Amino acid sequence: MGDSIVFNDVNFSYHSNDLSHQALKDINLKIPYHSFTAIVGKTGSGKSTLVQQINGLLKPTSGTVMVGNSIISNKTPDKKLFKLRKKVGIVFQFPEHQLFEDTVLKDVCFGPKNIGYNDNDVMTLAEKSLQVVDFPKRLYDQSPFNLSGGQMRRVAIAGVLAMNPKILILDEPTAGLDQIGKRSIMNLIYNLYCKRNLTIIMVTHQMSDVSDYADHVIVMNNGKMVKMTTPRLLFENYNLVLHNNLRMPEVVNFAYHLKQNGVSFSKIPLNIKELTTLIVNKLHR
Amino acid sequence: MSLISVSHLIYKYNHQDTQNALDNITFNVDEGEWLSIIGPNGSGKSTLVKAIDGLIHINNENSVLINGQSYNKNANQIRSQIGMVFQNPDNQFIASTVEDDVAFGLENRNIDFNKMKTIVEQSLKLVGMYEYRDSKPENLSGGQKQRVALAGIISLKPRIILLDEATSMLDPNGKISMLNLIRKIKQKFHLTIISVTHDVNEVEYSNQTLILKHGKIINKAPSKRILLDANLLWKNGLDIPFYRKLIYQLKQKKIHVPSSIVSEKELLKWVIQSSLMT
Amino acid sequence: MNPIMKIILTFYFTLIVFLANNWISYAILWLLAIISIYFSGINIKTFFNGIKAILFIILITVIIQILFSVNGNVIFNYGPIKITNLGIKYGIFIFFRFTLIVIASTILTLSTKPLAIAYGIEKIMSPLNKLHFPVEVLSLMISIALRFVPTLIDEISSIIKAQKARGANFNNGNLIKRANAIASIFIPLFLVAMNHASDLGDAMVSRGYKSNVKRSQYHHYHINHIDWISCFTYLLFGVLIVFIRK
Repeated sequence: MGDSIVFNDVNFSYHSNDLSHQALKDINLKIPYHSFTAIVGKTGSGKSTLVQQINGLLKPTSGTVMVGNSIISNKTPDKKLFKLRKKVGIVFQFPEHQLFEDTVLKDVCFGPKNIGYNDNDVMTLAEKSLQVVDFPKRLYDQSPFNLSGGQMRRVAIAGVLAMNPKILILDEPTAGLDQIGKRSIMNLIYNLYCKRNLTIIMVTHQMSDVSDYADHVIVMNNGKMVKMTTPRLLFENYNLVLHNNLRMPEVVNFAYHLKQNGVSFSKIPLNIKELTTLIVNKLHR
Repeated sequence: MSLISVSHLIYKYNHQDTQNALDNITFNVDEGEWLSIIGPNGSGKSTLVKAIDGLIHINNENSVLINGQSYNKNANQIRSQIGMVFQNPDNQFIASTVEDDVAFGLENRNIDFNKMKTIVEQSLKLVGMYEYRDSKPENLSGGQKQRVALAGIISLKPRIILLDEATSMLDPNGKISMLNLIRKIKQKFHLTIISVTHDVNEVEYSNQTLILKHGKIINKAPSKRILLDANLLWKNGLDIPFYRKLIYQLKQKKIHVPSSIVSEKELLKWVIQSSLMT
Repeated sequence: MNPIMKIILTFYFTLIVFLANNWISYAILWLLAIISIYFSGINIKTFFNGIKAILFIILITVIIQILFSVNGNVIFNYGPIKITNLGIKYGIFIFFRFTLIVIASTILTLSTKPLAIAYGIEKIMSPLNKLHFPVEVLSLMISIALRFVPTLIDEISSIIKAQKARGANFNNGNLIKRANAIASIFIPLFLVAMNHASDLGDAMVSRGYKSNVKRSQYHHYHINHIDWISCFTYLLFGVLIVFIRK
């Protein structure tokens, strides 16, 4: 049991007495460690509320959340949750809004210092995470507020990585960045997943990120989990995508149009390489 | 005469700065055009539209002329012709309810109370937000707030609308419905539009595109032509249209795609026809 | 009802509450308060939820007053505590007085939109315009501040969550650590607020706002017969109180 995140009948309401405006309803799911899970759904479907249960920022109104061997329920004392935060890091939407120290390096040190690392370890962790996010060393002593949007975001992510989490949650990590920024942040996240063997849970609106990177996907709608599946099975199910106000990735969309016009195939292509192979095979037959 | 004329515009954030934030910018926009301004973060895009909206002080008053008039002499007259939708939906919602917010601009113009009621109603119906007229901003989604902002601008009957990354904080469905709405309104009132964007799909709505880098114009051409130049888009922080990526991949596999194909629909048609022929 | 009239009548009511000094006059004021609640159309339940907390504070004040008053005949005596008949009487009067004032202001705030209150204050203060006091600017400032309260609350809560996720601890640790944790909330909040303010300023100018130019008003509040009836009723009760007063 120690190797997954498990939700057992989790209900959550922001106003604990009012069950008519429930933000999460009867959530049961299991996310294995070392997986890359995307959470999708339209705005207000409960995605962010769901991920905040995993490090105890929000406690379930009823039911339990298990992260490895730690159990979070309504009665879990805050002290225990504090320990959980070493294990589970969360990068919020527009994380650059949380920067506050006068230098980049100091800001990255904030997290590891809080959770009780000694000064030497704090510095090592901070410098290491700034390297991981590819932040130039000459800017360590700059004020974080003089950086570009993309760089500020890197610093904010480094601030969470410096706490050395085993599970990394990201809430729309590329929102508001330009294409160059988006690309490099997604590469960074995928690298963390592959090289550091982290468990990644990412809330996103970008369906192409789901098909390109994730191995699991959770579809949320109106506080309920509609489905937990793989990207391929999700995008093969045209109605499921449509009914939850999601869009198809462009690759899948193109493939669907091919199919509708008599170009048949057995397995739906998920990325541009697969689509290219499919077309090449069709043309060379 | 062009509706918007920018000539030799120079701007610095601080007097001490050695580098110009906007460096000798010259271009025109004709009535009825939709111009996209693209470029990497920090290239001066937002500063440029702020200059066109008269929100920053420029030294040479004649470097921005709207319909031949400068802000120094005719600020009120120009302002009544230009509206701007900003990036953050929350930062432009001034009043506490939807209808009050739309009325804000009309109040500034000292429009008569009875007339105001009608205009507010019409503008909200146009953007599909009339049924939310009593709603508070905290109960609206980002997309809905942007629609309200648009209604507030439409109510003032402008000739020009500036969009400063107006769709960048919306989800994909919100983006597309906002852009379709803007296109509809543009056609209905024969508006001129300038939009600052990172989104290649938004560029597809425009007919001219200007690329800005380090405060300088590095290219201005019909959007269709810019969209074909994958290299140019990539270098300037934009995604490449999906069908161009696919054509590139197919070429790597020695499949010759005719160069006459310039849209996803055409590519789709070509793939279907060629695969059914073989 | 017209917000101007409501504000004036609320002040007037507070004034006559202080004139009352016997059982009958308080009974009359209670009657007026109940009539006002009834006609305001506020749900009784929401009304009591609104004043519950403050009623409790008033009650405690009154109990202290009763326990430590010295005038009048002693009814009950225990150590330093003496309860007198006059003490009880004045205690109840004070309770009535505060409760009635709370009720009046609650009626005003629950039955009037913040924007309408801002409008009412602006109109009542409008004579100050002649003294070059920027009443309209002030009123716009109040309404913008009110509009941003929920937005900023949202932002504070997300900043707190983000810093908690980074291990910030606001309750434990030494002084320096705690001060740092608090700075981690206020500095980002300040920056976010500044960002709102500067963008909002641009948005207002862009939509033609100028502080010294005459603006029309989207909301028109007419004074109708309900306003006059209320005004007359309140005056009548006021006269009654003055006559009954000892």
